[in-house]
Amino acid sequence: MKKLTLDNLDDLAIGSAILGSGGGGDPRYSYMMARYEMEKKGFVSLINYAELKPDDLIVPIGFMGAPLAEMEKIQNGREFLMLFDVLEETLKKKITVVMPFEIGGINAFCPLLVAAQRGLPVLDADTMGRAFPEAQMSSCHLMGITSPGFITDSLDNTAVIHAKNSLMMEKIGRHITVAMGSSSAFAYFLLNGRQAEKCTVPKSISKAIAIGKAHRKSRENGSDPLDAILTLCKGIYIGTGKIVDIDRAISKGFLKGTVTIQNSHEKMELGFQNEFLVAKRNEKIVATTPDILILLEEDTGTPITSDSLQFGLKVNLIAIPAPTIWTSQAGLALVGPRHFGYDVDYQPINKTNKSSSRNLVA
Amino acid sequence: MSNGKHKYKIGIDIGGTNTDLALVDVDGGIAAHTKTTTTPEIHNGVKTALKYIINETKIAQGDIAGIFLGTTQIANAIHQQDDLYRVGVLRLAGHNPQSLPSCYSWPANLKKTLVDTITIDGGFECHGDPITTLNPSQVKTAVENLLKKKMESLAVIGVFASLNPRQELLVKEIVQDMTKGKIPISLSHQIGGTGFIERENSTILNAALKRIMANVFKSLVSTCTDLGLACPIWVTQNNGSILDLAHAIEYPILTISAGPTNSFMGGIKLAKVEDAIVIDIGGTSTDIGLVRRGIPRRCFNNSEIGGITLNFPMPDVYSIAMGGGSHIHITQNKIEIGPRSSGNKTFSQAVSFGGKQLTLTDIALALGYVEIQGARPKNVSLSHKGCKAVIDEAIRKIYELIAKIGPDESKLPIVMIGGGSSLMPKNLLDGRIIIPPFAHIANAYGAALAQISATVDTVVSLEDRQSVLENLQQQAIQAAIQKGADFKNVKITDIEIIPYHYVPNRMARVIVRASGNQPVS
Repeated sequence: MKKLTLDNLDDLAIGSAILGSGGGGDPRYSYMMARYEMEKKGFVSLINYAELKPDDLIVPIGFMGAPLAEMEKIQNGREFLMLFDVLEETLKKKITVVMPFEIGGINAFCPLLVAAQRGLPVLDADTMGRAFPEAQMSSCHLMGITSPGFITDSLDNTAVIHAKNSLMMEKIGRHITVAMGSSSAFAYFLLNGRQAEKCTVPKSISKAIAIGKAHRKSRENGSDPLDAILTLCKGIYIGTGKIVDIDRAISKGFLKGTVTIQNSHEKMELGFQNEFLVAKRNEKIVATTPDILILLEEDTGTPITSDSLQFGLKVNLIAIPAPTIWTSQAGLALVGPRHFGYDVDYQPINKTNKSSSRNLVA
Repeated sequence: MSNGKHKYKIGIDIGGTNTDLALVDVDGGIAAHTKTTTTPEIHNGVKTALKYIINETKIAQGDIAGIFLGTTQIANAIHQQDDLYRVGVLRLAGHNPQSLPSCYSWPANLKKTLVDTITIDGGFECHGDPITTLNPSQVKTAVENLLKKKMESLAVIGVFASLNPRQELLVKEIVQDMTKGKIPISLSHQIGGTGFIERENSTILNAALKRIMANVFKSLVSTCTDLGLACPIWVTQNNGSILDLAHAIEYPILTISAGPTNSFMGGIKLAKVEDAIVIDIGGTSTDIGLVRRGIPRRCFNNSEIGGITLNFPMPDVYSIAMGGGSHIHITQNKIEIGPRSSGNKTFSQAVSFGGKQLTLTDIALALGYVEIQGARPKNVSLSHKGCKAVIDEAIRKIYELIAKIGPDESKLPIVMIGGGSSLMPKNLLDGRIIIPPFAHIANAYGAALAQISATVDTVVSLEDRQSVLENLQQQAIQAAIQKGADFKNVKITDIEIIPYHYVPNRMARVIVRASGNQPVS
């Protein structure tokens, strides 16, 4: 067991925003809420797979909804307590471990919040290894986990979903969330201690903290955080430029679009649907989902989300490799570029772009 | 244009070091100007400047169409925590959020302004329904409780109040009635923007600042009255437009970053360019910013002041603590300029003026870059070579700042303004640097040219995009005219559309701004 303390939270905020790949929402509010709860005791316990007992009930949780709604109708702070009460009553079983459903963005902090309230340990893992827009894009779904889904809102309404399959659970859950004011708390794909290691992405929380720490240290030393992230995550540098065009629209509930980044000799196009999904440089594909595409503000290295893209902003585009669970054929069918409607195949970044080096762009 | 009645506008910039004044004619020309030291009671400095201009130009009081004020006093008040009100907070939020207390991330010394937060029924969902309806008896009980705790100023924050201000307005009515108007009330929707916590921060800070800013503004009014100036007084705000005085007293937070906006706008107007890098060298600091198509570039990150995150756009400014009053320290191999500065005491503390402190102004005097009446550059004991080295260091720092704006802007002109701009050699960067006439009062000039604007910031369905957007633009234009903009030249200056995801009916936050000049007549 490790202690996750208040000192880790700033690093986790940056790391989770980076792993959000442009989606997942700005973790600012969930960060403050987790910090507020954690201040009472000072820490939560972070455990790994080896510390799980076979019959543990492990609950992956998160917030679902429109980030802007979540930042306005802020959580009442009791959503997960309510959710857990209903869940335990329905299943007649005690929750023993919580974990983030999604490490990218807002949801990295949800388990810390309720772990501090309930005195539960947090499993150092998640079910995406990044951020994705839909609940079935989860390693648990990929590995065949099924369970009822639980949703609650800030006005003490709760829904228990017994869906035929994960896709229906996602659909139903989203409609419920809209009815709840586009902001809800959920628990999907409940696991036991025997399933966790096979069905989740390992060490997500410590990885996010390590990325955040590398980012912070390089800023303190006056060096570019980009290099530290690339070294730590074995990523690639794609290019630097200015945002010259943002084409975005809402389609089927998601923010879809393309952002164009230009410098004196290169044009980069980055397609997104909440998350950044496909990167082209001079019309040639250089990186795709599920590899993690990241935009960093050039000056400060601040990660940029697809809903805060700003015309004229100067940015660096990088990519780090996807969690291995996604690079199987089944994984790519679920979260590869074709699934999002791009007519291209997954191109692992460690096989392309050997020629790209930062020195090319001055 | 003019029927001959009002011929001039007066722009005044009250900085930490100097109070600058520009008398601007209807064609935008500078008819007269002056610069005086900012006084502890700021209206005294303003009075000196106004008297000087009136005596100098012999203008009739009736010739003045308006006085346009920009000030950094409010930022100073926050930094110095002077005379802040004790603030009570009313959250209109039927879901009773306890996940984050008010002022959670504030520095401890400013947190003291918060008396208590009481949450009552109210607030709206993003799709427009009330979360719960407002209950007037809850409002009364809550305010009574806050008054018992010695609240002096009330901040009201309703969920999605920027989308629907109805409940906040009703609270104001109830509280004014029960307190007979004795408790100042700040409503969050007036301060704008989504993001509950940042809007709450801004509203609380606004409520806390109302005493000091009301005093400042009221003293300025009586100064003008004393001088027989009966024209309206306008205050420039963060986005470069103006507020009438009554509104500025109610919402001082909206004027918090007017200083840099005024100097950047004044800089480009004086240089007669639309796109430029503007460098403002003042007494204690140097600011740099970028202006594109006549609008200062905004911050990408949330703006912050005194350690508190706020939710309105501020101009993107890089600053260093170097200005005309900066203290010079020379050790073996190192030259240090600032961060300490003699500020408004430069003309008594600097060695050229009989003082003991070597400042950047002394160096420029000794090198002959500038002449100032009454200065004795001979007092400077540092060698010519030494002075050269100091100015080279100052130039290096400025080049460093310019580099921060970025290589893509490397072809843009650089407009250098502010009291300290005259201290620099004239031929920097192959003539790319423009020091326009009147550079030293550019901020006062910028204040005089500020426009009247109105912003509509709302969440709407864009199913019928064209007509919805046209409607909002009309609303913004009407609001600007209502605030006093000339209907002949008011136009839409900014439209921002932020689509919501995970929400049906193509909901989007739309921010539309219309601006126009004050009518000249």
